[in-house]
Amino acid sequence: MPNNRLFTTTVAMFMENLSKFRGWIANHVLGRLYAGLNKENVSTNSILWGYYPVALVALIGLIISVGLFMQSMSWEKQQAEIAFHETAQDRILLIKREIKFSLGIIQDIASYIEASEAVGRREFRKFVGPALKNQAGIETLAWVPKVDFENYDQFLDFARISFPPFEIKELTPAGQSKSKKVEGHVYYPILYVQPYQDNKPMLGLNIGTDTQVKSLFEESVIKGTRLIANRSIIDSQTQQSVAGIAVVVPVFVKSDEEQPESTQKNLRGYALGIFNIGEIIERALDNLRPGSVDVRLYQGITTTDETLLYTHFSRSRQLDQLSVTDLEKSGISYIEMIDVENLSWSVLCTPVFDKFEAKTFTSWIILLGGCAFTALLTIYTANLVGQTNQIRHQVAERTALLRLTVEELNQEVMERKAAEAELQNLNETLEHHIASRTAEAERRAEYLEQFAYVTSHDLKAPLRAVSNLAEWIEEDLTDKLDDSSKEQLALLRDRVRRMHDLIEGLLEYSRVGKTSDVEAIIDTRELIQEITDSLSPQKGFTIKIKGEMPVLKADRLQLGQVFSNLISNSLKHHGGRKGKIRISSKQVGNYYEFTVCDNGQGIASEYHDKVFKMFQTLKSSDYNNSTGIGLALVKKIVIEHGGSIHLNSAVNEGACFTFLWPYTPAEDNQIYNKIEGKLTG
Amino acid sequence: MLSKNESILLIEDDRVDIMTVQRALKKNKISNPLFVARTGHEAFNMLRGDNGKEQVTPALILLDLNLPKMSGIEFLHKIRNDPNLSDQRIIVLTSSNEPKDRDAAFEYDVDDYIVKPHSFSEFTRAIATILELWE
Repeated sequence: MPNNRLFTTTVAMFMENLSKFRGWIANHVLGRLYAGLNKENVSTNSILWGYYPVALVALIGLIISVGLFMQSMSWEKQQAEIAFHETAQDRILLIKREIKFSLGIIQDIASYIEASEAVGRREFRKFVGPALKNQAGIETLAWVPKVDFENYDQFLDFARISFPPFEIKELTPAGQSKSKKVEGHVYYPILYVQPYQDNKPMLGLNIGTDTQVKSLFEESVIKGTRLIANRSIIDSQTQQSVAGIAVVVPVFVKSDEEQPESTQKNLRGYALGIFNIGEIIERALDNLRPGSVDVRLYQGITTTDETLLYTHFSRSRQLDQLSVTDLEKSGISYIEMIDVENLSWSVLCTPVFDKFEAKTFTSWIILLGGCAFTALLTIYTANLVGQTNQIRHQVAERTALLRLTVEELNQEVMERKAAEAELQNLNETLEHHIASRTAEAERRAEYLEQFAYVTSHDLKAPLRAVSNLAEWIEEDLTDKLDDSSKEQLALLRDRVRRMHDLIEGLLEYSRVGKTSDVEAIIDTRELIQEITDSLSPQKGFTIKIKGEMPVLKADRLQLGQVFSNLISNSLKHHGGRKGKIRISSKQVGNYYEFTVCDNGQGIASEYHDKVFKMFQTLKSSDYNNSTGIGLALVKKIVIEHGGSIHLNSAVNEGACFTFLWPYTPAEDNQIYNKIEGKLTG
Repeated sequence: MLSKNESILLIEDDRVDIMTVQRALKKNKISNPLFVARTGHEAFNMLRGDNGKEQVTPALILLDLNLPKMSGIEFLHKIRNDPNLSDQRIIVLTSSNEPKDRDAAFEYDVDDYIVKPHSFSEFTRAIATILELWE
């Protein structure tokens, strides 16, 4: 599993690099501390210095990863916030609309009453009926006429038409009590109130005594517009105090003037509405899907617990049964002011659940990916650096090895040179020896040659003299000598001649092998013809050449000597009066084989070796005119030229001398032919 | 063939050989004057007329190679380097059959090289042949 192995090795390398890095830190940082004291690890440090890039890569990679992560986080958070803001804005818009819608009824009531001379109880109920049914948060809708002391009774009469037990009541610390008719006093009793069932106790209540209401009334009159005040109300269902608002709209006497004077004098009364703000908000958000947004309504611009009017908890909470604290951790929020007439509210939206939490999944992936990439890059760099170090190390090692090898080689070269010099010396000595030996040999050969030369002359001259003198004596004393003296003189001359022949033979024998570099192209047929002619055989002898004879390159004199001696040997020792000599040739390997055969008396096989020895003749010297040198000379010549000779003969069956002469290549013949061509052409 | 008054100078140290030549001439009935010098020096004295010797101008010199003191080859060398005598015609008459000697003699432009035959009769024939073919 190559991948696994790769992984393992990479991890191993990484670990090794890490440990090296640790080692580097140990060496380097501590080394700095103990600088000057300990410089042993310099080389190790220099190697570890190479790992700087690894740390750098890791650092840069981490920084980039974290940076990207943070950027992504903030972006995602921003996205979440934008989404949340949009959601929150939607909600606040709805709330605003709902509030406007809900509060609109008060204005409607005011306009309705202002437009009518008199409004009956039933008319009022009818008018507000749809609003009560359709609009949210309406706790109380009331018409509060202004009742002066002058028309106190008149008012009571009017009121009792539709509701007989009507009384103007006062709110006292003990409860409610019947109001007293006091001169100069202005009353603000609630004449009509809806929904009646919930607000029954309020009927006839003079709310002008309430300081808060009174100031609200007065202010609204001065401004001539609708006014709103925060007011906690008792929820009719839960009987708990909840945040509410009171809205008053002053209604003035209808006048012909375009702009009715909004004064206390023209005031007819107030349209009053009390709203459950919570219900309005709930109604506003009711139609939305659960949005995971908590909405808090604060009085004014501050958002403290004291100013908190209402909290709408997201319906997601109830579904998920999560605790409040769990869900309020998210840092994002949205706040917007709602201005309605004189009142300002702050609406704070906070997300619940994790819907508006930043989806940091991508960021984490980026971080993880970045880290992984950094790790890989670091490993790769470490690997590279490691390899580089390894290579550097190897190069250093190899260089050292190479240096060593070169030194060894140098050493060897030196040794070889020394050996060579020695050998040269030895050679020279040897050559010197050889030269001196050769010189000596040459000197001896020369001496021998000189000796042979001198001998031949010094021996031949007196012999000739003796021979001549004997002949002259015989001539001069022809008449005076008796036959025996004549015979003795003839013998003397014959012996002298034999001695002469011996000397000649010796000379020739000694001459063989002596440098005769006069090699010529020889037509052996011609050569043999010449020899045959010069030997002038006796009558009755035939010498024939059978078949092809070669043309070769050889020492003419010596090859001629061989043929001459062999033929004359046959002539001499034939023993008969008529004889035949046959000469033939053929090529055998690298040799020419020449055969000279006669039909003479033959030679017994026991003498076959002897005939080639010096001075060996098979006859007594008295009957023999041969010197015993001829065949020895033939053998010597043939052997000196690298050939061989043997005799094939038996008594009375003739003799065949066969000798091998080295073959000379054809090109020589070609040369010969050329020369011949030139000569003839 | 030598004309009648043309002389022959024989340079030969061996008395028997001198006699052989003399006898061979006589036997061939050749009566031309024959002068004999026993050494090369003597021969030069005779050829130049030095040292009280009567000058001879032979048509032909018969030269032995094996001479005491001055060898035949040395004589040849000397005579061929003598401006007055360098044209002298010479026949070598020697007992040496060595190619070395033969080659050396022909180097000095001798007319012939004759190995002294062993037998007197051959010798006589050889002398006759030389002189008959002389021109």
